[in-house]
Amino acid sequence: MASTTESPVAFLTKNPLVSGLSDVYNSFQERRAKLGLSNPGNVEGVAREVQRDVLASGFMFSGIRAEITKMTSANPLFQVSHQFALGERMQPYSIAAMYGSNKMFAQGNLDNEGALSGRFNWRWGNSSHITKTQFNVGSETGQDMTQFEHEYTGSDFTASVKAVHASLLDRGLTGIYIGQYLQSVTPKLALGLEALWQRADMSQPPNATVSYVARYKSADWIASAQFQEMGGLQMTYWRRLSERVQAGVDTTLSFAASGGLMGPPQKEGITTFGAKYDFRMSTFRAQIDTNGKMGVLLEKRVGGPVTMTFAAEVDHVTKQHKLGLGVSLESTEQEFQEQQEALPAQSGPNIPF
Amino acid sequence: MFALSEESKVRRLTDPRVGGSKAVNHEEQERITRIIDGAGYIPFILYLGYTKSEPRPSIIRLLSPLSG
Repeated sequence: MASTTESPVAFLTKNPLVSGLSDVYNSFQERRAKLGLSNPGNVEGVAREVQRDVLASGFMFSGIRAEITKMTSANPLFQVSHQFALGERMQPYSIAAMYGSNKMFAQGNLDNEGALSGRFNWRWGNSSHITKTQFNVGSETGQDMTQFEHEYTGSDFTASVKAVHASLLDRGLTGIYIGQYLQSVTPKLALGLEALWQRADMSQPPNATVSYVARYKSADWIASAQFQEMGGLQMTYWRRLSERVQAGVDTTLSFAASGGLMGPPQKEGITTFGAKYDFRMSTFRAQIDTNGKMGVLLEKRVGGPVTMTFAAEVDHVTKQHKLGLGVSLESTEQEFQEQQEALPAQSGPNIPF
Repeated sequence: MFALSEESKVRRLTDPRVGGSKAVNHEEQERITRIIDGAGYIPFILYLGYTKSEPRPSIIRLLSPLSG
């Protein structure tokens, strides 16, 4: 009777060798689950608290900027924004649209010169597999970029593979290929590595590098380090000083043999100190680096949907400065606002960013 | 090193994509594909958002920067 229900390839899974191996694997997984490790985030985000939150450099701009954002729905997330600007490296007009649901995330930005940058992320089923696409189509040749990434978020690790500028058209494989893996080792420590293989042109030999990352997260401070085989070291330290104040330090050292192959290795280093203050209606960021560059950024909610942003940067060595002033207006549809008020505890969708 | 760079120079000169009347055609084609790409993706997101939002927003308020 049993033989009629068994599949013809059952001997592949029901032999002593395989069952022994699967026992070992299962007990290993059980022990691993008992450790109760949390997901450490991805390799690119090991220093996210410092680089993306505390330091003002990522938010800096110069010139005048006005932005009107219309959010029409929160679940799924849907917003359209128009940006008008006057200043260097900013186009006079651009339109951006964003859509996000549990399954997908799509975002696009088109300026008046016809340059498009977009992202499209897709979650496979209800799983932790996310495929991310990123592309730039410039108004001139040579500005185009495509990037494909597949990320798997496990319970205590994140693994991803990425291809930038991947092409087979030059009678061979060219482009940049990156594999990343970050694993929680203890509840506080995560270790990972990143392998990069690149070939710009078929006339050049490919080269591969490996870098190692570590992240240590304590109750109120986080330290991270990234070491590149080619000769680079980046260390960050983040600390919450009080409920509303955070501080961060970022040190980058490079001792790569840049320039000529014969010359001595060039040593360069830069350290940036930054602080972020969160007030009730405003956010203030300040930073100073060892090259003598100082920057401040103030975001203030003036009233209702209007936010003013003021940015200033002074380089004491080159005697250059930048000033930026921005106004952003967020408007929501009347019905949507009422809907939001009626459902205050409504949670947003789990968007695969 | 030097031999390689010379070789690549020669390849550049003989490459039909660089110089000549064909290049204009190629660039023109590329320009058109760019415009189609750029003009397609934003409306795609707008369409998605418009059809899936609940309640549906009004199109004029969505697209015009001046309406509140």
